[in-house]
Amino acid sequence: MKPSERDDPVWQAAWSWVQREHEKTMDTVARVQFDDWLQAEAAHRDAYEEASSLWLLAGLVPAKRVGAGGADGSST
Amino acid sequence: VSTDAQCLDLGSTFVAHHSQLRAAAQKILGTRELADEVAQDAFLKLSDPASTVTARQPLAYCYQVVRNLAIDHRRRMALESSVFAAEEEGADVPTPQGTPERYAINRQNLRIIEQALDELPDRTRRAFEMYRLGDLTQREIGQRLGVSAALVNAMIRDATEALMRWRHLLLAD
Repeated sequence: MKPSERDDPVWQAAWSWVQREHEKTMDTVARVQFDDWLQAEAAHRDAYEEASSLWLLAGLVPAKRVGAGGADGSST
Repeated sequence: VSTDAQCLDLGSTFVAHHSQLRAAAQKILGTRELADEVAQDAFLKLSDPASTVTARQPLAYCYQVVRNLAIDHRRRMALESSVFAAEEEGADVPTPQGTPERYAINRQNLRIIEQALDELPDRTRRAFEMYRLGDLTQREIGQRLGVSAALVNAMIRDATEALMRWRHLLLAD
């Protein structure tokens, strides 16, 4: 976990998969590519786990703006 | 507001709205059983001063935590089943060395992320919150802020780069 890892291509790839998952823009082809990428190397899965836990943390910081978390804060 | 009072507040807000919060989790996870599991996890985090931060809108924050934990739970289950399916098909899936690094969900890490986001220009922070928490597309965010989708994209990139710059300070689970 060095700051220089920001430029690490594996980390960058992991991060962009996390964002694509969030955006729900993955079609079937992308899903297969994602699975292949995950299964190709243990390091890919590690980077993906790390990136998705960072993404989760970012989602647990309270919104600064009123209503940013959805109109009434609920999705129901 | 002290942290203890804040947690009491989040905890009692959670209890008062327990069934709606569980319903929000169930909508994401499908089953009552999984929803109960995630709701319990959310409650433990929200009512523990060591694992939460100050939130100005307790109920909105309870929903935010439940939703995000539920989405992460669903993601993890999907990942496990896809790896399992690959192994069933005879693929040689490499075993991760040791436990993969996950960042702890605790007060200290949340404050680090909060600080990283606080450093962003106000509009960038707002765009990022709409993206991360509001589930809006970049195009929708652009419409709401009255800026181009390209600018929204650049703002989200700035925000995610800020997270990456700070992540070496985060503690692992």
